[in-house]
Amino acid sequence: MAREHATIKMSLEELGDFASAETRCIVATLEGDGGPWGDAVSCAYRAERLYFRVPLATRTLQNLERDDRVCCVIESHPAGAEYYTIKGAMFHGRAARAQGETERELASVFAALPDPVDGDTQGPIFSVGVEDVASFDFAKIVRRFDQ
Amino acid sequence: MSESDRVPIPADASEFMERNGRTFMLTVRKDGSPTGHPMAGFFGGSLYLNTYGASVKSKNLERDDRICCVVTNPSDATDFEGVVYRGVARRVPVEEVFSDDVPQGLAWARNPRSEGSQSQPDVPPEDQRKIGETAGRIKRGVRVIYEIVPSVVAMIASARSKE
Repeated sequence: MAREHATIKMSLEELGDFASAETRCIVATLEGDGGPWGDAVSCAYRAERLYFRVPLATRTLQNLERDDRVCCVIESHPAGAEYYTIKGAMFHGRAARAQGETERELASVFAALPDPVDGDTQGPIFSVGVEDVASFDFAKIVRRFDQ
Repeated sequence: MSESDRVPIPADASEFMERNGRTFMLTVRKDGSPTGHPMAGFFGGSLYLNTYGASVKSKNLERDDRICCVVTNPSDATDFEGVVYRGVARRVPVEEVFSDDVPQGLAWARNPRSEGSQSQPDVPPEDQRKIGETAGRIKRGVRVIYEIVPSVVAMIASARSKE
């Protein structure tokens, strides 16, 4: 647990600031055999929920239709980044499909966020909340030693 | 899955992972739900991960060895690229980690500063331990190395379509 120690965890406000700047996430779902599967999709953070669009005809969408348990991982790790600048967060929960007014509002947001893999803008939008989030800000490791 | 199920690694995926080590390690939690951790992956012959033995990551793999890694380019890359590498995790015994003539990925994982060279890492005496001294931690069992024995390896664009 060294890298997930409470002292390097982000506050909800810090998480919001960080996640709001991220537009790609890695989404983990469960295959039919119960093992993990991964894909990369577009995402947007709004009002303490991470929204993500899953392209049609993907294993990820097939998996979510069978089992809605999901983990979305965002990480800021630019090329050549110093270790102590890396941040990340893992959102766990059940993927809730956006519907109605929420879906209509998000449609314009995601229209500007093409899928990172194939550039498409089609597919249902899901979300996961912040009730079960693990996060890290390695800059806090340095601050911890400074104290 | 057994060793006989190991699949060959496509040339494009291999070439990509030789240039990119940013890895998302996806495993299954105790309750059966998926989880993920960003970390460094070391590719060369196979994909290797180096983590604390007491970490959630390691505990998940010791309970359920099924794993899917997504290896990607940096987060600020204009065009996203990635590889899906799914299989089972094999905990590499310490004697194997420090044997001679190991796969490049294992040489790199046991000594991240080596860039994959075969040179054996220096392990200072216990009283001279330094922060970041990976090899000593592996020898003491504090850190562990896993090889991911692959059953699916492909560039993400071709791997993602439903079966």
